Amino acid sequence: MFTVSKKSLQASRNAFSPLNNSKRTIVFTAIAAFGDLLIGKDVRLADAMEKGNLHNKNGEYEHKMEQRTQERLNALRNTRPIEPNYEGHVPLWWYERMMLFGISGLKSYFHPENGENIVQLGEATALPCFLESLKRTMLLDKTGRRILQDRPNITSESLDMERLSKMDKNSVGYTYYKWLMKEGVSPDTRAPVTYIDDPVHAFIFKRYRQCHDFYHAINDLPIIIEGEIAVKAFEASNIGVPMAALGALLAPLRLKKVQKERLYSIYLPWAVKAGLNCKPLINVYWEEILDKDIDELRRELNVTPPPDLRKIRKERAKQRKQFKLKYETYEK
Amino acid sequence: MLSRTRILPYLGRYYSDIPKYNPAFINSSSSSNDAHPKPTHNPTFDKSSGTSTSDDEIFHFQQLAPTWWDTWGSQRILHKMNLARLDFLQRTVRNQIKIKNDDVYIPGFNHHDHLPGYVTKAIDQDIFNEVQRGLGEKKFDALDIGCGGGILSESFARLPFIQSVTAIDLTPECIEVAKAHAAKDPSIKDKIFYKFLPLEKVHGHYDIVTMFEMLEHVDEPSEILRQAWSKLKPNGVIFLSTINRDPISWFTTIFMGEQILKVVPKGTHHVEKYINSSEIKQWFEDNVQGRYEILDTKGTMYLPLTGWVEHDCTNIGNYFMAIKKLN
Amino acid sequence: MLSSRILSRSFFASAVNLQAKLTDVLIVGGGPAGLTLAAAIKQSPHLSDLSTVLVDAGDLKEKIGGFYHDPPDNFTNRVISLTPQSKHFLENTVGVSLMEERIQPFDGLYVTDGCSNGTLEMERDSMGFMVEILNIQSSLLAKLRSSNAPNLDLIDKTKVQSIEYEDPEDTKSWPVVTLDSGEQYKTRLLIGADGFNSPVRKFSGIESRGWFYERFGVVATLKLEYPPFKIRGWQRFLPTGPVAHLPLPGTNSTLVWSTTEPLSRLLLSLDDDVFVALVNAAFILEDVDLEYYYKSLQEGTITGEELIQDVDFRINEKFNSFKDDSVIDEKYPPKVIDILDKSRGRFPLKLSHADTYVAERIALVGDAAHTTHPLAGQGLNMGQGDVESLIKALEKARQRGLDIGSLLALEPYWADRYPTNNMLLGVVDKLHKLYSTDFGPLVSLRTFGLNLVNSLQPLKDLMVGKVSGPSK
Repeated sequence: MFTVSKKSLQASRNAFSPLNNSKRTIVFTAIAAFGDLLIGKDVRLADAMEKGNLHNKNGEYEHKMEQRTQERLNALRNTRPIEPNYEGHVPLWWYERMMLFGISGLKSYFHPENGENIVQLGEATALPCFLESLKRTMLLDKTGRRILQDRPNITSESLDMERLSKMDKNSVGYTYYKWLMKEGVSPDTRAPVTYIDDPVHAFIFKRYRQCHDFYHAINDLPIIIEGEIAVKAFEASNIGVPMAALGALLAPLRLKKVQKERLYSIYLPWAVKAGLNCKPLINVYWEEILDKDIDELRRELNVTPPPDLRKIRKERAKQRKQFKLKYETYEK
Repeated sequence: MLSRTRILPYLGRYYSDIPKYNPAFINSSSSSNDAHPKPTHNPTFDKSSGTSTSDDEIFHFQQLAPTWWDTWGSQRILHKMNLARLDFLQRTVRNQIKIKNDDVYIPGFNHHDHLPGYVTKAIDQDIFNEVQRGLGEKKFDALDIGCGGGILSESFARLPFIQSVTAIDLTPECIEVAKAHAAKDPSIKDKIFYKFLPLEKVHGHYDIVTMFEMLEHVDEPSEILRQAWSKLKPNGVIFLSTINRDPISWFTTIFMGEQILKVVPKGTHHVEKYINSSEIKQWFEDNVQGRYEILDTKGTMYLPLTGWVEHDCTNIGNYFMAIKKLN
Repeated sequence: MLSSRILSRSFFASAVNLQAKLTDVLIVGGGPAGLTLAAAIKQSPHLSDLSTVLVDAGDLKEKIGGFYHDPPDNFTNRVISLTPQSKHFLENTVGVSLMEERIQPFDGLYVTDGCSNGTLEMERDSMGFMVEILNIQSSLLAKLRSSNAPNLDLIDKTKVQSIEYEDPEDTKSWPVVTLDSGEQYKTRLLIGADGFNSPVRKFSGIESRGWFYERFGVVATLKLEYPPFKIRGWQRFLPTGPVAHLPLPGTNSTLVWSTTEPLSRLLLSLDDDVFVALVNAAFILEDVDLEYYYKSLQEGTITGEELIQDVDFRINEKFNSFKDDSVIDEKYPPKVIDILDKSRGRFPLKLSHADTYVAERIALVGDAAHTTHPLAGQGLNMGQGDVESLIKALEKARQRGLDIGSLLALEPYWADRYPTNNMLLGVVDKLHKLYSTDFGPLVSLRTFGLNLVNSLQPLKDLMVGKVSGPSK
């Protein structure tokens, strides 16, 4: 419920953002109208809040609000095609699924920097057949089967960041910790799975999301868009997640020329090759190999990290600066 | 189109060629009206080979003799017809068996239409067993006139109620073939007596006399009939089969059988020698009035996929007939 | 060279003339088809006077015949499904009384696709009967013994040494069969009921076409946790081949697992409890689980105990995913808890069909004429159908006074059976091929097809009718 309204809110916000293209306007007006229909009340509520009408002295109001929210939740629950299969599951009708795909796709295209969009698109494109093949990959492997049995959850708590920070410098755990620090993210930032019907599929998808950071870490790729695309391509060729392939194919359209060149000449070829050569990463029980030497793990998985992206970017920036200086001095 | 313009006059010509009467049959049958039987008209037959079969016919069957027993050869259609003959014969003989056992219920109506399946099945089974028992006591002597290579004679000899089969033919080669073939089967070799003999020289009397596909090959069918009748015991049965003299018979037996499909050796049939079933009946009416009973008459025709099947239209094409000699 | 051949031939001919006994019918092979034929001949009012000899290499009289009077407590592993027609023919026409207490009728089939949720559920009371082959054979032997038929010679523990024509030049002359006991029989009609490698068929020169499926059938007698809730056959099409288990009386059940050659060897080599776990996995878990188990077992990366635990976990996981427990009984057979000691065996699967079943003085019945994949349980029934049809042809031939060895007498049998058998062989073969792949599009297509069939009752009835006869 919450996510739905938030999504629509964003949609409506997108719609109000200044757009020159008249065709887009039509599409977004439509979405806005639909969003308004859903969240009209919320908008009014927000207005009320602004005006300070919300916090009246009546103590019963909050209780009433609570009741109304519950009622609405119940009403919404009754409209679902099936009973939820797991905690946090929101079963969707087929047309809702299609809308989710359409809207999150468009939003991801225009606002790839917003993680929420990508997350939703990921779930919308995670068709049962792809998840089934991922499950197959796991079931065919001893460790994969163990992961499916244990259903581990990666959080900063379960990993014990404190412990990671004290690990051997060349261990997997420390590499991961270092990467988290460098990129300023945490294992807890991963969104829960909401729209996938099968509980096992949902777990696999969650696992894939949670392990995503490890893929970054072992390849030492940053979370800036180029690095993200490279990791996506790597995932796509390694375990065949459709969202990853989609991202790797479509996202570069929005890159600058120089970024594109870098991607096509260095990172995509590396990602595809490394992904195919590497053993299925979904079958790595990360929690158990934190002590392992990172190079040993890379050898075992048969993967070599690409050139350091941040370093390349830095060098290029430096070069540009120099050029600029030269140019400017020349101008003068 | 072309072929049709060719065939049509051909058909027409044949149609006009078909005589209204079989002169040999009608003449002799009318001549037989004077009570005592006459000797054969043609003295040469007496000398050489016997009753009323032309040398042409004998020659024709001489040619066929070697392949007679090849069931996939020139006589296949005859082998197939033999199945229908025996079905007809077996049924007729069975119908003649009187059920003496009073415990056996014989419904006087068509019980298949009126009683449930398991009841009719039980009734049929009862009757069948009783007939089988009755048949088991019978020991018939049979005479097969015009036995050819012995296709019918051998089948006859294997039937449990047949005691002996005397088989005669006027083509010596056929008799040789028949003898050689029967000798291979130890169960019948002592039951069949093949003889190269004209009918009038056959001694003794028989319970069953057969003339299958034979009357249309002789010059004087009425004479053969008279002879055959004289060889029959009282209560004995003559089985005969021949072909009605009509365009359809010509079309099926000669045009299709011999010329188009070539399932019958060329020259086997001559349409003018065919005899209508009504003529046979007339002959009995004229010659042995009151002393005969026609047990059954069935038309029969060949269907390429099924073989020979019986039908009730007895004055078209081939037919079987069973005539009983009354006491 | 030539002269020596002539010499041996003339010597042989004279040997034949001196010793050979005459008989009307000589049946080679005392399997279900051969024995049924012998008993049916003796039972038929038209044929019972035919002198009949049956030759078999096995110990028919004591070992197989003894089964009838002194049956073991356990069920043997060679069990087949007898259609109502075959049973009716055996009991009513041949007059056999089978050992009823060892027969289990079943009321339906539950067929599933191991790669998808495709399901076909067929139901009919007494759709078929699970019978041990030994039950059929020994009951027939008991029938033959009790009827005390004259002109019947059962020669067991004896092999056919050679078959020759009486006159080697004439393929229409009577075949002379020499046994390894030295006895010789000259027979009017030689019946090949001698199985896939039929020496009689080879003698006749009849060509048989077909192929090996590169699959083996693994059989075993299973013990179930509890008597089945629904007495029906369970069949699951795995890409390696169908696996089926069909009910026997009580908590017994019989397994036929068609699989590849290496896997069949693996299945035979496993410990009983691991095998049991795999059988359960085959009916309940997914194809990928089996693939993992096969791989791990072959590579030795899993212990039996681990495997059993893993299977248990996966089965519980699967069962827990159902919100309604009653679905489990509906969709899955009762759990297997044990197998009968030493009841595992395997045999190669193949398709073969003789070009014709008859030649002058020779007729082939049963496996000598055709062999099929066991997935439809039609093999033995086709043989019974052959015998029924051959008996009819022989009866008709006798009524018509034909030589029962002649092609003319035997042709109707072939004409009657060949199309039926060919249709069954073809359908079974296509089914095998359709289900021996896990190629995605084909899986979805066949799943759609199977589910469609499942929802069309008249079509289902027609199919049930084809395999187990018209409804009563």
